[in-house]
Amino acid sequence: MNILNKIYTALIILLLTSSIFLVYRSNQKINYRAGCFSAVPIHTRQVFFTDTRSTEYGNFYEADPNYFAWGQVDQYFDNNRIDVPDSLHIEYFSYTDSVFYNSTLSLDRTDSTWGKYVKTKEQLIFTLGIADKGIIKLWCSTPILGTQLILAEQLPAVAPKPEDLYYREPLSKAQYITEMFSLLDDSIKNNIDKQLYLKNYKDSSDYKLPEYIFN
Amino acid sequence: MDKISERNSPELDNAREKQRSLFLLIALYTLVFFLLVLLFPKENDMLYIPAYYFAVVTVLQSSYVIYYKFPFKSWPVAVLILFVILLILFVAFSIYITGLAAAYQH
Repeated sequence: MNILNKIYTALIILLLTSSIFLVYRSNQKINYRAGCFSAVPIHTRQVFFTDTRSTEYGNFYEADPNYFAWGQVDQYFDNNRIDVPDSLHIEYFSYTDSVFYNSTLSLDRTDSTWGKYVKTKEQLIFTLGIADKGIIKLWCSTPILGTQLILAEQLPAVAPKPEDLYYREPLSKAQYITEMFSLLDDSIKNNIDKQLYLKNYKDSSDYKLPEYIFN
Repeated sequence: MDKISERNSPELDNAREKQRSLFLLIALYTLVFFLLVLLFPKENDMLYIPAYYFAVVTVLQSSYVIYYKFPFKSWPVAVLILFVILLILFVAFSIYITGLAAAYQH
């Protein structure tokens, strides 16, 4: 066999090995839907799922600061052919207390509740709830396993970095907050002033997924 | 008789090697396609598969043509030229469609 054929044979072995590995990885990927709601007006900067095995993000449709209600998801994002996530990244500005939140929360696969969803072959539906004071709740649903709370955290407020204050141009913290409030409806601004959104969701652990989402 | 077989032996070997290369190339072209489909399963990325595919097969075909020193008027060179034309077409289409998508977004 000449050198060219040796190279071709080596390439074939390499491609076959890569194809087998990719088929194996492809079988690990699933489809899941992700939705988000908030109890208070927030400006979502980033919210996505990640997994250490890949660089792909599991996306959400962001919560609208002018239309929000606890337990009401506007729309679920379809994430196709993606790994089961192992962490949730969330960055947002809360209008009610004018503070910034930026955290990455890991989903513990050894946890018995989340572990059941990781192993199931059913389509997963994630619902993220964001409440006042950095309270985060994440539910996972399937038709057979039902809906269960898999993550409940209270995020610490963080000092924004310069890149967090970019809105059309670099802004100071005060300028950024003013700019964010200019995007908000006057009625919501009045409600914030009257402290109408102050409600504690720390112990709220129930979420009922609408039946039609499974179809 | 012995002299004839001695004289033909390297040519025969060369013909056999050429044929083996051809079979290996066909296997490679098929595998490259499947690998690209596995690498780019998402609808948005599938657009780039033909461009990547023709880039790879052009390189492989060139190695075949250069190694065996095929003359310009031979079928491996004709196939190579066809691959180059298809590569240019698909690269141009990818650039055009990406530009169109960017213009549509803005």
